[in-house]
Amino acid sequence: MANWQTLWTWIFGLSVFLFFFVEIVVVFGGARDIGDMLRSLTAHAEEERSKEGGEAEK
Amino acid sequence: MRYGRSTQILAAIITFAAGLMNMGLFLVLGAKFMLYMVGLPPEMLPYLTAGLLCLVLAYTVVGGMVSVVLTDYIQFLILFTSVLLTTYFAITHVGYDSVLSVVEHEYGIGGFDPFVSEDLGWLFIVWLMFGIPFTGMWPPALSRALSTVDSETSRKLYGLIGLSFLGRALMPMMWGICALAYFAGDSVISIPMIDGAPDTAAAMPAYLAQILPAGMRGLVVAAALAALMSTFDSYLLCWSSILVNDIILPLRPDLTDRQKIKLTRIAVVGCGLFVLLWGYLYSPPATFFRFLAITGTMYSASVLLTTAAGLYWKKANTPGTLASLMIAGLLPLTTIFLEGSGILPPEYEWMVQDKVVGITTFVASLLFIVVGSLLTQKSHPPRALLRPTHTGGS
Repeated sequence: MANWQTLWTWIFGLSVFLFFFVEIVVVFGGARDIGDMLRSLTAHAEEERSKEGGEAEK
Repeated sequence: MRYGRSTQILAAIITFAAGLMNMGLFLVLGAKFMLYMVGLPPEMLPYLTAGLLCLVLAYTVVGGMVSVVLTDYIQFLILFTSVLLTTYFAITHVGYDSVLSVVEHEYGIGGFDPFVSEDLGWLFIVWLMFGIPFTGMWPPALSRALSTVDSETSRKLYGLIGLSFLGRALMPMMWGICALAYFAGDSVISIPMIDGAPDTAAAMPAYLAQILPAGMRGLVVAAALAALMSTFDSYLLCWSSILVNDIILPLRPDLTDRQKIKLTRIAVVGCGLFVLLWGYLYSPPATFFRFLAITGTMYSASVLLTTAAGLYWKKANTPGTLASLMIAGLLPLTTIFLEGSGILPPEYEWMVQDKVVGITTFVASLLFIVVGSLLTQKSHPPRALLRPTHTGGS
């Protein structure tokens, strides 16, 4: 029984570590991706506005 | 390409039914978790369940993609942090040694060694092993992978999900084990009761509500709401898309895009209402995890096995596939509706045990597709996986 208890304890410890590792990766990677997405959306919106402005001047 | 339209529709019906039943208990269990965490009286459960459903439906039907990305990111931060902190508080309150000794006292060696457990045993492990190759192909997970920008992102997504999946499953299980240790000892509160029996689904939230510090409890409630909403929106969109694209569209190919979107929205609301009713009317005979496993088997032994055969076995044809789909779609229903219902005489109850039916479903599904396809090779020659390309006479 002690061997099984040790095995489950190790598996549980490993799962907590991997969970924490993934959290760190996703927090920083996700923040960077969201920044890129917002920049791209802003650029696209400005492009659309300038197109509309150009058409209005014509 | 490989099979006929009838196969597509039958596979979609099985996927849709299995998926809806699979998520059918999420809502009521999620509401129960919130109820005990917040400390509301049990009579409020129906109102809380309906309120949660309305929130998720509004979010899923109306929400745009940018709002989904931003809220999912914030939900992720709250969820992951609160899961780690809750695990810490749950274990330290009762003590890890106490957890081990209570499990030993309640279940003996079977509490740690699944091979000798009376409830689980070899059959249960073999059944789960059959399902392992298909875990990454569960439609909601697959729909996320298919919506990535390229295969490299998809590979990264699966890699990260795989690493965190073990923790996502084991940590809430550990909270439940800690709740067992808490209520088995000298607990300050008694275990919640339902119809005169202990309400085991309420034990873990009642334990967490008792031991978590005030701010932490709020964080866990926010995390539970985030988890419920992000799971629900992807599940509802997934099953309603299957209903519209794979069942209705093959029968009504003339639908316009506008009509398809309208139908998908109606399907989302319909699926939500079904989940609400199913959660109240159906009581799973075993644990929630085992209910998920048997509804998962209904899908993986039918649709995924026939997909794999279509890709890798040249002799797979439509009759063999239909036979396999029928048997794998119907067999798990015996466990879902007959196990513990009292309909069968006690000496035949073992025949509808989830582990027996689970293994039988996989084996029967494989046999039906192999035998069915081999017997009908002449009348229904297998179609080629790739259509011949026309190269302009070269």
